[in-house]
Amino acid sequence: MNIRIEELFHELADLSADERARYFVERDVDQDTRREVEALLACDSGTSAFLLRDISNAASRALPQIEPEGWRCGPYRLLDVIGRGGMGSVYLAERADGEVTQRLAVKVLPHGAGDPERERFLQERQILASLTHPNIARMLDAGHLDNGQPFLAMEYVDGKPIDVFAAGLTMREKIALFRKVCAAVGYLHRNLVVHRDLKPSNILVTADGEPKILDFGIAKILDLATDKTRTGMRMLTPDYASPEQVTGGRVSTATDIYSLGAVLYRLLTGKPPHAITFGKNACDRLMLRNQDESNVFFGHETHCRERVILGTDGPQGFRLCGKDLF
Amino acid sequence: MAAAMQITELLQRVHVGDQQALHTVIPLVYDELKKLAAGHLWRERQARPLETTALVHEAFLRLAHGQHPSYENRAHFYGIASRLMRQILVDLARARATEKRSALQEVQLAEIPDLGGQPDESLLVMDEALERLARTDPLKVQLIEMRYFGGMTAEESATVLSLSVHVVRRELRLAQALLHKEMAG
Repeated sequence: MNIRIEELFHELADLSADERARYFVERDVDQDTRREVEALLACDSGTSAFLLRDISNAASRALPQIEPEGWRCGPYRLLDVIGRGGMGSVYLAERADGEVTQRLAVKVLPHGAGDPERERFLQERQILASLTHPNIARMLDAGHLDNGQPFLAMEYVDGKPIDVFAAGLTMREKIALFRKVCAAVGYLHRNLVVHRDLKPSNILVTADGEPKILDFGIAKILDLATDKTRTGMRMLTPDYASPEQVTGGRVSTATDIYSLGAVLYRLLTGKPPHAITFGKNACDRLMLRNQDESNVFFGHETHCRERVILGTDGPQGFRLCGKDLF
Repeated sequence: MAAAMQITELLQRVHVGDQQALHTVIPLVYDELKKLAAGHLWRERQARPLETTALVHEAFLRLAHGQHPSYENRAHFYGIASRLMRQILVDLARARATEKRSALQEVQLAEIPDLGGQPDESLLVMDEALERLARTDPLKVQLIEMRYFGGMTAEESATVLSLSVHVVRRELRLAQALLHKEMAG
């Protein structure tokens, strides 16, 4: 920064436009310098307001991301963030009251969450409380913080996403692993629960090869009268979401079957099921892709896949799947 | 805690130019600021607008732990915290911008409110402008950090930088105009 320009700025900052013009002439300031000083003076007004606004906006957006490491949550101490989603963060936690040594996963409703999120969180806890299956992460505890934020404690699954785990397996081993997942989903459906968010990152496989289904954040209990439920408001992972979820149609157990098909595709081919951007005709493309690539599979696996993919058509597909895979 | 007991002494050493003391203080203040921000949000169900200034002041009260350091030491603390506040905010904004990019695979349906908010482009633009400005005029950048990230008064900045209050006011005004111009491109 030119010292002369700085000095001129200080001299002129509090003068009127006329006085400034006169100053430039009287002191015989050259055109370039004058232009630069004037540009700087033009930036003088209102600056503090915009700086304060930007910083304060940035702070209120950025700071909520800071995780309360070491915070107590009921009898648990939060150690590390292991997942973060719109419906709250999941922490690796340990029991802090000295009763027993135990590691678990704790999920807390984020502060500032609205009533719909709160309701969904409570529903997730209720759904989890009703489930007991070796391939579904168990709920261990539930409670509220002093300020009313609900939390739930679950079995901590130290595992890899199923697609990562399966990468080194033989075809036969992949199918065996996948069947375990199908069995767990079958159990969910018999209990009238639709998961609605089945994807590799929600199916972790432990070191001894047991898959565990996680994250019931958007799971739903089916309405007995119709055996159907409306797609919720949510984030979708397009590769694994069913057409009816994309279009906001009614979801049923077939929704999960579709996602299972996508997961199977991923396991067998190693590729994401549909690396496409969703547009207006997303669903058409989705199904076309499935047809186009039907020859990717072979032998027994084609058979599986056809059944699974049939799930896109609704309850009929589910029945077929149920027979062949569950 | 040892850290809490030491802070006044450390600040005193920072005041006389001890770089080692400064390197000890920085992580303490950084951690305290982050912890406070998290605690603040954790406790307040109704998220009220966050004031970085309030956080900086609260961090000081907690680290000083009931002691009453001199005015000079407190000013030094605010000076350090101002820089760190900027760093914390920029780190988070950058992390979120990256997250947003990798989330392009995810389709968002219209009905759900985005709890995360929009990317903090304006802060990152400001940060880059400050970086450019710092190459030629680090003092001005410091003045801006103190005023806007740490909420420091001209008197406090003057104490930390060993300048007159008049010069601080004058230079800050110029610094703001320069930053504004820099950000406008």
